[in-house]
Amino acid sequence: MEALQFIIILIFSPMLQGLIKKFKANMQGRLGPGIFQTYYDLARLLKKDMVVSNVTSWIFRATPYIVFISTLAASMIVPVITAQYPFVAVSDVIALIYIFGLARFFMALAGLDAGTAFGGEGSSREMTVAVLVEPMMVLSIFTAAISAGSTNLAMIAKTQNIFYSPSHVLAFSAFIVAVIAETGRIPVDNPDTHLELTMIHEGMLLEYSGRYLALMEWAHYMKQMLLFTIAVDIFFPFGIVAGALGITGFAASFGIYTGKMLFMCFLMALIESTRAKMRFFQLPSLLGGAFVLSALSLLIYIMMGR
Amino acid sequence: MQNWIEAFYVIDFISVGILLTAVSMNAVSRLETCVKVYTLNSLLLSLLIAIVATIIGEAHLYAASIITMLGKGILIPLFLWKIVKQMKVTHEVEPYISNTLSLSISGILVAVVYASLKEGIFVTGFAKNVFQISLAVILIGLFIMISRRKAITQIIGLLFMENGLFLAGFSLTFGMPMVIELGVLFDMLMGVIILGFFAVQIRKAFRSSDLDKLTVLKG
Amino acid sequence: MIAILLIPLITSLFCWLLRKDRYIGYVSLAGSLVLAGFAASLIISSVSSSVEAINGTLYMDALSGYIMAMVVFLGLASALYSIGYLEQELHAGLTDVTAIRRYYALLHLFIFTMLLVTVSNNLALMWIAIEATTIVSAVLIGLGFRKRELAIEAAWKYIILCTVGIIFALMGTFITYYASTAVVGTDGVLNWTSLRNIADKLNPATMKLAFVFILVGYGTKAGLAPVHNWLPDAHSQAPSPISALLSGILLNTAFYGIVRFMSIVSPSTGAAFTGNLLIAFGVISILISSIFILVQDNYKRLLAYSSIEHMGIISLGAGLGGFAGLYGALLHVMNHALSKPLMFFASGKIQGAYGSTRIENVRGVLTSMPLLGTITFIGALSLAGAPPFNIFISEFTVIKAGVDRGLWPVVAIFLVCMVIVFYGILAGFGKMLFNSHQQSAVGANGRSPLQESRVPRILAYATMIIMAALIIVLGVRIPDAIENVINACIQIIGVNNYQMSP
Repeated sequence: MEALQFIIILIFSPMLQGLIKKFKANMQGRLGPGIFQTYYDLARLLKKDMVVSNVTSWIFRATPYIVFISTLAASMIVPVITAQYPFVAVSDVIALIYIFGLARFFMALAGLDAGTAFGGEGSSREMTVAVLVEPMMVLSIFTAAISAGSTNLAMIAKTQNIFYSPSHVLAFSAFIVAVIAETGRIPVDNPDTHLELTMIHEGMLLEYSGRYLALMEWAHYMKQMLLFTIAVDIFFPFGIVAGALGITGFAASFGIYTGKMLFMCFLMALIESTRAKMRFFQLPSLLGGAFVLSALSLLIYIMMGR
Repeated sequence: MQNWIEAFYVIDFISVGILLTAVSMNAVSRLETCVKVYTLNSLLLSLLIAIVATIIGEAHLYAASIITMLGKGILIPLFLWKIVKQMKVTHEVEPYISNTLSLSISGILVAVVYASLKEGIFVTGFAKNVFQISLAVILIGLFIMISRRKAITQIIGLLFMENGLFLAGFSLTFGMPMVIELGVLFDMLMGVIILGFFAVQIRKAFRSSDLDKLTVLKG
Repeated sequence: MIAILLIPLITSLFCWLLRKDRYIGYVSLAGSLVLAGFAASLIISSVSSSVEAINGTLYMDALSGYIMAMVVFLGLASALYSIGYLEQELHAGLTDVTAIRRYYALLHLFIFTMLLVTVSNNLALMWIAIEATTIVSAVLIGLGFRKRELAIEAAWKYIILCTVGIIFALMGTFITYYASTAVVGTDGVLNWTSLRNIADKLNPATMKLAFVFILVGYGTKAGLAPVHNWLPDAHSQAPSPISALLSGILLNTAFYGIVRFMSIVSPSTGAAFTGNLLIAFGVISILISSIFILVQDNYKRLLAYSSIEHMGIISLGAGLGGFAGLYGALLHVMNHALSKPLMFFASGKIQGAYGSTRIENVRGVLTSMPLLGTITFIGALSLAGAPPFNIFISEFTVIKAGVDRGLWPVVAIFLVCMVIVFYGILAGFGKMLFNSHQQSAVGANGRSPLQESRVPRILAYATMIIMAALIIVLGVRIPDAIENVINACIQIIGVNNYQMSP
């Protein structure tokens, strides 16, 4: 039963995307599409025929499955509403980051595989951003990991009720920047356009269509929800069930989890609405700043002991 | 009140805020923003003193807090603001060291302070964290002075050093006697005014506010 | 004591308020004379017993009196010299009445701040006073009448470097205060007299840290070597009377701060710690400055580097310790405070006549201006450390201290550098003094030499002649009075702490 908590992520991740879009539209004074629009889009894509360039290799065809499955695997090891589930032993933060790394690696290869200019551009940019983001993500998670005494996500979520100290506030801010960069949101990337000069994530998906595109998009939504979940697991784990999952426990935990996800969506929409997209060559100063933030958080934790 | 302050780590948060404002100076290139960041830093400093004053209940600390706020939070920033307006420069165009690198260096400076003070000789409970942060702020201030080329940013670096020093003195001994603090503040104020005067003079004499031009005297 | 502090302030105010440029100089002179009169009795009484004021915030003993005597004397000398100097600059169209008023007001403010340094018992007050000397003198340097840009550049470097340095000194003061709280309870003490009483109980580790901060901080101000960069610029660009004050006494007041701290730090850390640091700073200063003296082509900068060298010797003497070391250092303070201002006064005259500060542009001073040439010659010989003059005696005493301690490498470096300096200074000034008069006393810019009116001229030359005479007299015999003062100073610093095995 507890092992199936990943289903929540599988099912609700497109809705999360819809929610963010809805929040954003409201903030900008628009009506916006309904929150189920992403489901309709996915369904439509799944029905459509695919056009695959005949210069591509097996990598191009295998990538959507690899990306989707590795993201699904990642969502299995992350505690969503309970910290007591069969995969606890492998729910390690470092493993998680490597699973994301695997997906990213194939995505970048596939971007190059079709041999178009934009795909390669997207891949190279994605990798550049990844180089900057990964250490910062690891460092900010480490701040929490040190105070919990483990890099195991379930342990982190279980041992602490809520983290509240200067170092954790800093780590959380750095982590939010990492999430923004990983999910390809403003100010790092603009998810709503296919403007050649700026796109990062969309560039790699440019050659995909039909079912493959649906899988890639879905994996992306799942990754986004996963990152949100990790953020709340690490920084606000209160309300997560530590023991066996009963009906009341499930209801309470799921309710709190929904609240936290709504908060994250709101935060993302707020950032997206108030910031402007940065030029690519300015990114290092944003990400570098966030990296210093995460390093400082770790340092301050060691310095102050909390 | 006291429980409330301890429960929410208020002192920690403010001292980290002081550190962060100092670190973020490295990423700021608009001169007006530099002045704002400095103002924020000074106000946080005075807030910290006020909060410690409520904890240990010493009257002269309240006075110190108010003086800090008036002198460093209002007077000096207003003066700097005036100078910035007078200089007609808005940006630090090309710092010697890129913003990202200088951010990282200031992070490293914090680590160096921590490493060197681990076996500290200063053991007071309150002082332990704050003293380290204050030393880091001093070093970052020094680094700002080295890495920037505008006269104004050098002054601001100096002021950051001074704020760090103030924090250090405060964390070691809960501040000096009142008269002394007034004297130090007055000296600092005069120093800033003279520096501002010279900054304007440099602008007039060299037709640039960059300090690179000051290379005639050597050897 | 408070009267002493008020006189320069009032004089400063008068100079600022007066509109007639002719009289300002004489008002300032009168102020300096009154100050000298008041100070003399105070200084004499302070030698035998210490004097306190305002609940012990102000305090004077022989050491303060010794330094104060130099401040007052050089203040008077500068006031005498400035009249003619400013008249000359005014005639040359290099300055105006407003600048002159500002100059005199700041000059007396400068003297006030230095007096405050010498009488501060409270170490934080001393810090405030030393920082105030920086601020006031920076403006004076920035007045620089001849080359505006260079003066601003020098002043900027000066104020930035010294303020950064002095921030470290404040840190050291804070740490000292912190160390005292551990001994006397929550409200620590900052008065030097109280600290000296508990000096042996202070935590050695804390005091070591404090002393390093103090040495770097005040050392910047005193022009000790690795942190001396501001000094040549500031001294060469300031108006000559100000250069004289900077070099002759400002450096000494900063060093006075170090010595005060040394006497409270040594009992807890052991004299070896403070002594070795001072020796290191001293030797580096002497080494670096001697090299720069050798290659210098600007005589004002040459004099500035010579100041670094002499501060190095003082630091070395104080670091070597023992009776001989301290005696040599203290005597050297006075000798340097006589010879260097004299040379700056003389170089001001030379600059006025030739319109250049480059050695190669000045030739045959001895033939064209025999009196000035003779004075310069005496000053140069004294600075170089030639035997019948005052500086030779104190340098020799410092060498003796080094030999007593058996620190042969230090003595060797010192002697080699003295030879280099001897050559460097005499070669530089020799070219200016002796070389044939192919170039008459006309500036490189073709202006005829500017002559000030008779009275200021006589005053300036009288000042220089008296100083030159003192240089010779002190080289032959040290009067008992001065001997007594120096002995009293050594008692205060505490020679007993320096009886140690090398």
